[in-house]
Amino acid sequence: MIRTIILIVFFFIMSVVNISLVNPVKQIQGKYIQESYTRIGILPTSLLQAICLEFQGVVADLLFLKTLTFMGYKIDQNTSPEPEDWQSIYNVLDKITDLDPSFLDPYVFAEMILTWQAGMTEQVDNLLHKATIGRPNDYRPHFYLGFNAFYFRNLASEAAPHLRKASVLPDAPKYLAGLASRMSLYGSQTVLGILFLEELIAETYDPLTKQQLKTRLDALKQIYLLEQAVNQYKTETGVFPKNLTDLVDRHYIERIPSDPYGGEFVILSGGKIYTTSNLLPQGKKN
Amino acid sequence: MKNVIPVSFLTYREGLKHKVVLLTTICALSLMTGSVLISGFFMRDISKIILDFCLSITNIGGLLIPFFLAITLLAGDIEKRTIVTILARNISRTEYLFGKYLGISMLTATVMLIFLAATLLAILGGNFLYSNIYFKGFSISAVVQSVILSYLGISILNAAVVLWCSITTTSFLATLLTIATYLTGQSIDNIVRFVESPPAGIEISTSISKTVQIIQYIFPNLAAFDHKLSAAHGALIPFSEFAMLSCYAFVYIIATLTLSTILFIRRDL
Amino acid sequence: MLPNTPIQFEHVFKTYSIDIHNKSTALIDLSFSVKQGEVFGIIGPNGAGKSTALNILLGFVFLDKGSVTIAGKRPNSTSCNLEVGYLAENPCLYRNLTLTEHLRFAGTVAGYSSVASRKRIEELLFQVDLAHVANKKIRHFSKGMTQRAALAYALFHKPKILILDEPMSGLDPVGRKMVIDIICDYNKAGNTVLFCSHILTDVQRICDRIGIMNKGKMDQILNSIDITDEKNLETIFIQTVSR
Repeated sequence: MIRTIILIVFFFIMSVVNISLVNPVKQIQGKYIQESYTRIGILPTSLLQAICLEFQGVVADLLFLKTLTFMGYKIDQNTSPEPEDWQSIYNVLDKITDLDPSFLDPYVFAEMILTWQAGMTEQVDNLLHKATIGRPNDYRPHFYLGFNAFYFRNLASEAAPHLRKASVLPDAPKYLAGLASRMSLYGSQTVLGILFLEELIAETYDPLTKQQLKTRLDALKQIYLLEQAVNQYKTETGVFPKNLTDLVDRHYIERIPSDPYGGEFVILSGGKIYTTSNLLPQGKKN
Repeated sequence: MKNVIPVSFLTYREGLKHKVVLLTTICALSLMTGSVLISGFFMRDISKIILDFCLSITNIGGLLIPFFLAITLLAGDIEKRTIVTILARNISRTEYLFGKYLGISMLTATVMLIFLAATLLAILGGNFLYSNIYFKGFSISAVVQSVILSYLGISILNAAVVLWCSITTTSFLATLLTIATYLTGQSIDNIVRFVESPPAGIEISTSISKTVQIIQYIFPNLAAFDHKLSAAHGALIPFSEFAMLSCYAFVYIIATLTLSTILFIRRDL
Repeated sequence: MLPNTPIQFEHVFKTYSIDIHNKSTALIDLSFSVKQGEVFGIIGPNGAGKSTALNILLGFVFLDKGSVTIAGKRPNSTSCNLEVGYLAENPCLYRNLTLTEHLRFAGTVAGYSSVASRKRIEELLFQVDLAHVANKKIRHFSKGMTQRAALAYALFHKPKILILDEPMSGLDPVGRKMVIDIICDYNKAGNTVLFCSHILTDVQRICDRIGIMNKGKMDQILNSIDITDEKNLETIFIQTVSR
């Protein structure tokens, strides 16, 4: 009887010690997350495929989950990813889409994050070209390619063919067909950005991602409002306003809107609207 | 061959009463529930994620039969001499081997059917938890087709187990040989392709190339039966390809069982 | 009708290969025969080749030289197994199945209808006194119960020849008596029994003839009526084996 009690007490002590060790172990593991993550990205694709045997789909899913964790870890550490981190994220996304070229999430992730936050439009385009082959009946890869060309590189001529291809594929939003031809008329990329974000939000389940996208959409909508006001100002007065207070003074807008990212809107020469936050989350280094 | 059926049912009954079957089923079902929850971490390909996990678990569940249960049922039968219970009757060794194989196949089918049902339940659960817009790509016929193909691949492996058990004396050796067959079967296709058209700058000696060429005619091409990925994206493979794969599996199984019989009927027990 | 000598060994040789270089000789020129309707017991020290002889008879092991007939046929022909019942040394029933399942299997294989099979199962369960555990898994059986269960399984199809490998080993006196009674009853119905054992008293009690095997050979065959108190089986056995 006494022996049983001693054993039970011993078991409890061990359990408590074990629980207290969980976090230190997690911290040790955290140190190596980056290293192990980086290492996956540089494995040759054929080797990776051989290791996965017949479980490539699941491995792709798990690697993608690891990517999300890695991003979360970086945010948790209060550091935005460094350029080399972005590079390893890109490498892993490349491997994931090699394992399962039809997997939509990594393409969307690349389009949502790598372009806006890391400016890696060229690499993202590489991934998206893979997507056009892996998902031949999906309009999104073409849509994203067109969007990247127009929004990030301001090349309407390059964007139009992509958008045209996207518009004839099943489930493509109706406005895509007209968008290709009218694109250059918009004068600014903001409208396309708004459409694009609305599209993404409608299809996103994850609440956190959805929130991030909504913030960006809000910011773009503010910019769009300001752009319209500036254009009106220009048509009516013949000159661009010097600063945003001019717009308020002349009652084009009621007040200067606030940037959801915490930056300040300014008017650049030529009437362009710019925000000091550059549409990136503030309060972190980078 | 009239006694094949009674032997197969005896094997099937014995296998079903093994704790392994119950335990794997419970584990698999909880894992599948987990997969529904995990899929929520992803952004949009939710049906693909659930199917990736569920089809892989179905496959692993099926693989447990050749790796563990079939070995116990066959090699254990010889090791523990329970085989004499059957062979002392008017049952030939050929009937014994075919009956055992059939029993093991039925076990595999049962386990995979349970898992298939659980997969469909997981999809329903996902549909309920998230929105059905993430399940547009889901195709039940593609899922069933992929499970049938997995089953055929595992059936080939079961036949390999029969072969290894009929020539080895210990279940340990039979397990090792079965694992080797599985790994070879999964990667032989890749290796052959690599050898046939090596990347620039890599020299492959003719002897290696010849060996690999020969091996591909001996070991089964198990990787060809893996269509989980396309099923997860809701794509069916053409019926002609499906028929060809079934034919390949059928012929390979018959050949393997015949070879096993040839070796087994001359063997001292 | 069975031939007059249902079991016959003629100049049988058998060697096992242990590995590539080593071989062990199990049987050297083994010859003997069992007559219709008798109980023949084989005794011999460990490694004398008793089990090998029985294994050859049942077709589990193949002989190198010589000839063996059982029920007038060569071993391992499935038709001759319809005439033969076999009880292995350590009864090899499937541990996860019940006794009823075993017996039902035996019935199906022997071509019984399900009604006939059910009737025979009841009969046998009564005979071996296991009716109360018929639906329990064999793994929950004691050694004696397993032995009796295996005997019931061996007797299911009313074989003309019964082959038993150490049927009494590891049984308590009650279990031993039950097995001996079953064997005697069975023999009285005109059937042939061949068995091997270590327990000399049992052998002496039920056998018509006793063969003493040593080093792969049949050294001596005794009629049980020749065994007397002065020249008892133990003395003869020890003399024969130590020669």
